[in-house]
Amino acid sequence: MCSAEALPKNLESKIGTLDPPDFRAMLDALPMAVYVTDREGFITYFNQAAADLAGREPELGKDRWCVGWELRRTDGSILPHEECPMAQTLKEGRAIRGHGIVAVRPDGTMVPLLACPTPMFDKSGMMTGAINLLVDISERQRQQAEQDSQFLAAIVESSDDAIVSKDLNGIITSWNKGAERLFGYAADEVIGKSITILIPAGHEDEEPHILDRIRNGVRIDHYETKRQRKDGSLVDISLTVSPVRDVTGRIVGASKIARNITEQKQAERTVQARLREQASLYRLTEKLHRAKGIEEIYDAALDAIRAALNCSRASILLFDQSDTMRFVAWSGLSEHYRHAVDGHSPWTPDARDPDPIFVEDMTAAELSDDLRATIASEGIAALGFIPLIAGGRLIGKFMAYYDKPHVFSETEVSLALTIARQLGFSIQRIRAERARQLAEEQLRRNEASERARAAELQAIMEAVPTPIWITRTPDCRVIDGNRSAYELLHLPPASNLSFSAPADERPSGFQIFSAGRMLSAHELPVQRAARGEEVENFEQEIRFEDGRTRHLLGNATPLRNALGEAAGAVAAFIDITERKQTEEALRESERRLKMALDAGRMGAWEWNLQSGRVIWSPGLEVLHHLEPGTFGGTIAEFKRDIHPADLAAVEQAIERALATREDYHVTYRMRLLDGTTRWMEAFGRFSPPDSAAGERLAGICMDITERKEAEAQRDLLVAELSHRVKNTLATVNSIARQSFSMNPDARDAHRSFDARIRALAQAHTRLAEAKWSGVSLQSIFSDELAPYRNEGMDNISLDGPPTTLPPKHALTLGMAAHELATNAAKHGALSVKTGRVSVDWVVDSNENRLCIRWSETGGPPVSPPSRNGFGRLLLERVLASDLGGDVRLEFASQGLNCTIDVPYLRGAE
Amino acid sequence: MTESDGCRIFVVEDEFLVALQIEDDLVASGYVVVGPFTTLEGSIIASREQKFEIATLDLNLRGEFVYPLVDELLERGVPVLLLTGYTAADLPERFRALPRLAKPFDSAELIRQVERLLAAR
Repeated sequence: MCSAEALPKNLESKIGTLDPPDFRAMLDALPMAVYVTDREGFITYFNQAAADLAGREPELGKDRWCVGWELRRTDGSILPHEECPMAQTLKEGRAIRGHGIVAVRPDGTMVPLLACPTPMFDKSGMMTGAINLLVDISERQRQQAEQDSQFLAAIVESSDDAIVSKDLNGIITSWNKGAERLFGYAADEVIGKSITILIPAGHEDEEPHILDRIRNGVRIDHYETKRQRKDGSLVDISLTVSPVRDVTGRIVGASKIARNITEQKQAERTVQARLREQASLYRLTEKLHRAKGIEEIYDAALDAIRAALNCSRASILLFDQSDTMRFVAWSGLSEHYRHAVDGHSPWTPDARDPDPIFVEDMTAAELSDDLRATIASEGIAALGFIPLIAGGRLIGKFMAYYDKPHVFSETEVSLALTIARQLGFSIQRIRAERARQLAEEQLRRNEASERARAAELQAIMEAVPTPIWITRTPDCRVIDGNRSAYELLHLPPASNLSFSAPADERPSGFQIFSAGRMLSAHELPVQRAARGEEVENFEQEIRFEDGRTRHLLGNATPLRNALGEAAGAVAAFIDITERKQTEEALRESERRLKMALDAGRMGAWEWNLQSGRVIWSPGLEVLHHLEPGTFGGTIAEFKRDIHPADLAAVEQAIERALATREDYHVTYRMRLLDGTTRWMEAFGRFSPPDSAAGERLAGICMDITERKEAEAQRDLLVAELSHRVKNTLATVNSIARQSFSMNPDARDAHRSFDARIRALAQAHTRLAEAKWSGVSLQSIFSDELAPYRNEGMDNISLDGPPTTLPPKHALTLGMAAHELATNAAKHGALSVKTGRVSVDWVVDSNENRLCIRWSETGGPPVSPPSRNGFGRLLLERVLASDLGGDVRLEFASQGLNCTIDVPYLRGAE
Repeated sequence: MTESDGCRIFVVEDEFLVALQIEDDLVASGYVVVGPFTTLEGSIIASREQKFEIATLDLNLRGEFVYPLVDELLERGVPVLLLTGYTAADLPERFRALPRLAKPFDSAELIRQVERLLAAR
């Protein structure tokens, strides 16, 4: 047979040397199928052999790539034309040799063949098309198959696998020894019968399905199913079914190879259980890892326990705070059961590394009747107690419950311990997480409350009516203030208040002084505090450019960082301007009070009843003739200066005041150490009883000596007045008696009395006009003589130096002048028109005497009076007695002469 | 009026017209008047030289008070009648209890006071 590979590669060039008509005839006559396509695959030539092979007449220019009707691969599957070897050659520009395919003719027959397509190129190397040589190999295959079938039959018979063939209707056509062994039927028992005798109940629809696939040429590989043996038992098999074709490839039946896989299945199930367990552990690990909350952990653990320990129910119990084991998660347990066994635990919390407990059969376990009944009613036949350890401590357990008695395999025990470890670790992790969250939450709350407090402080700072300065750097380049500070300084909010700032940022419009001196930036309280100093009770004065000033008093304190270093400062001040003014006013008031006390000869005192301490003002010390500051501060020292005669009265006044809490008032004399006596008047009042300094009696002392003296003087004057008035009345009384007893003529006596009283009154008037300091001698005589004065006659003359008479002299001389004048008018010189009276007086300052001479001339002849009338009595005795003087009456013929010579001290008035 | 016969009364009064009346009244009742004296000094000297049973004294003698004389007379046990315009409150404490006749006085009252002093002697 001629192999396609034997063809020369440069076929075209070789062919190109032939004569073209010969070449065509040769191809037409060639007993091998040949066809040619253009580069697009459209058939341009084919020979008769090709048409015979294809079983059809190809259409030039229309059929593409292949002359055949339908193509199959050697496995029977459909090969699309565009994937045939010729198409590949055209696509790839290379020759393909001996590729086996099956051509299906329009009549359904199939021809196995080898395709050998070869590309063709023109001189320039451009592919122009391809030529394909098809070699029919059906005969060769048939011969081969005959050989093979004998060989295969031997193999089939000797195979352990059951190999069965059947036709397309499912009728068994062959049955090897393996099949006899596997299914229990002998070959002659089953050949010719339907394969369905092997199909167990429930698998009835498998065979039609298999046959359908076989008819379509589809093979079934390793289909695992069950089949029924002759004895009725089921066997797990792996089934491979292949279509059986005749020589032409037509499917005529199926061969089945069945393998007993019961043991394999068992092993697989074991492996799968392991895998499931491992998977459950893996899932548990993953879920635990991802769990956000304890509930998720419990759920994952319960799932894992059930899957890994092959139990239907599970639970998790943990010690509560009273170390009692409590259910925290469960699946499939009744409330009654949970309630009944709650708190039961094989371990106490202090158990060290307890081993798990497995009860494989509850009926064999030693239990109380109650518990047994409870467990039985819950349908639990086996139990596992697996301790949960966290951080080296027993924290609880998990339980696996089985509906049937259960033998715990080593794997299960190991898995249980693994789950317990993971669960314990996870609970610990969640607890730690919870604790961390709580701590974080607390921290957040703290932070929030800190922020709230900071905001609150900020608000307070803004709201307080007191100015506050803050700097957050030690160099104080920026100082902020609160609203009050900006208002105080008349600066816009948020402007920089720092004098330590660069020149163009500094505040303006004011300067800061303290103790009268302007402060430089580094002396300011905030700056000092920012250097770490505590500045307390700092008084500063802000002087504005417009002349106003404010006084501030306050503190500045450093703001320290975590290391304790001064990192800023804060200062708060109060505006004490008003207080300063008040203090100034108070000082002024105190000064005025002191002046008043000094001027009024007053002093202030205070007696603290609690301490017994007595405080005196400097003025009071002066009143007591003490050097300022030398008063000892005790009541005893005060009493020492009191006049002994008045001490009792003062003590009594104090007692009364203390007893009644009424105002204290007393007048007393002081007898001072230097011997002087002064009158004092003291007033005192109790301080309110709730006074923190203790109850005090405070008041003033006044030196009233002058007033006392004035009062004494006044009393004296009053007494003197009383004395004089009464003396005067007594005198009047006496005058009356003398007037009326001496004069027998009642009418005359009456007139005389009246005139005398008037004269006395006239002298009093003169004295009163001169405030009783004295009356001039001339006015005394002038008054008495005035009624008789005759201006034209010049009948009266008064001549003497200006002489002032003391009151006594005035009164007595007044009465004497009256008696002389009335006598002259009645009997003497003034009783006639020619009469004349002259009064002259001299004062002998050497002898301190006053000599007055009364002379009458020109009157009627004078004779001594027959009786001693009142006038003479008065002149001779009263003048002599009252004034201690001499009175001489001379009844001369030309008229009466009266000489009065009395002691007279010029300075006495 | 035998009781008063020859009974000597020391009179101190600086107001002559008043003294005159005292003297008249006493003399009219049978007493012997010693004085009247008008100055403190003169009356003290006289009181030591003269004999008398009782004294009527004006208090103010031209501005001088007769207290020294009163003290002296009381010491000697001489009954004293104060004849004065002063009220008791104006007097030193020790003299306030002494018999006192306010000016202007009634003659009969003067004599009654003098008699009472003599009787109590």
